[in-house]
Amino acid sequence: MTTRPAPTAGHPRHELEPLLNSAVRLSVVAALAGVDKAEFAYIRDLVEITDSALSKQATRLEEAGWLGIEKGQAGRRPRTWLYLTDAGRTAYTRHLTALRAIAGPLH
Amino acid sequence: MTNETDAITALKGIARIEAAARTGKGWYGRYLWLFAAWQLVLVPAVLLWRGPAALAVTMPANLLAVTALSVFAVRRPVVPRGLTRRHLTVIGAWAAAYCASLALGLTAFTDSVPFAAAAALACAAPAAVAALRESRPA
Repeated sequence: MTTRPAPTAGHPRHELEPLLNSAVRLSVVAALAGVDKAEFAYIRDLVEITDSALSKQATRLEEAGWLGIEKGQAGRRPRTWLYLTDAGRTAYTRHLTALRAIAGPLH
Repeated sequence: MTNETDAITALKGIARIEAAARTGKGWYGRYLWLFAAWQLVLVPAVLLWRGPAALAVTMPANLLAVTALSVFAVRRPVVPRGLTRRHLTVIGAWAAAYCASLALGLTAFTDSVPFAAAAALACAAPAAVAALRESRPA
């Protein structure tokens, strides 16, 4: 779980999650927000990044306690699933709310 | 990221990713429509077609259909949000309708074509209603 300074009242930028300031990490989290879980390869293709880049970002998010990685098997095929934890969903919702507040009432 | 333009760009990116992710979740709606359509074939066949030949056809056909649908579901790369709860609700409602249809169709409404038609619709309804809900925008 990441720690961040307590937000000061005022501008909504203080509510932004620093970990989600990376466009790739934000995309990964956004892709997982509407699903229970998704395959690693599906997220890789959706976000249009390489295996190693996704692996690196997934590890960062996992270290923060926002993302879970689950390994499984479908027949002989190994499958890796990614999912957002409750903490990840909360952080994403908070980040989204802050973005909307910054963007203004039309967004 | 502190200004309005950055936030708008980020929100546009999020909207694009979320829209793309939604297409990956669409498989469950297709699964439900296939399940509902199969009920329109299975239920009348079970209620109106009797004898060893009927059993020899309907039971393996049902097994094949259920297996094919299960394989289809297991191979999907995305598990939609709340799928387990939604699916258990659909299957529970279908099981109740199917058991009631068989109980009544094999006792009180033997060889009744109107009852078989109504029973088929009742058994298809849980999946069809859930499929319609799936197709609604979130």
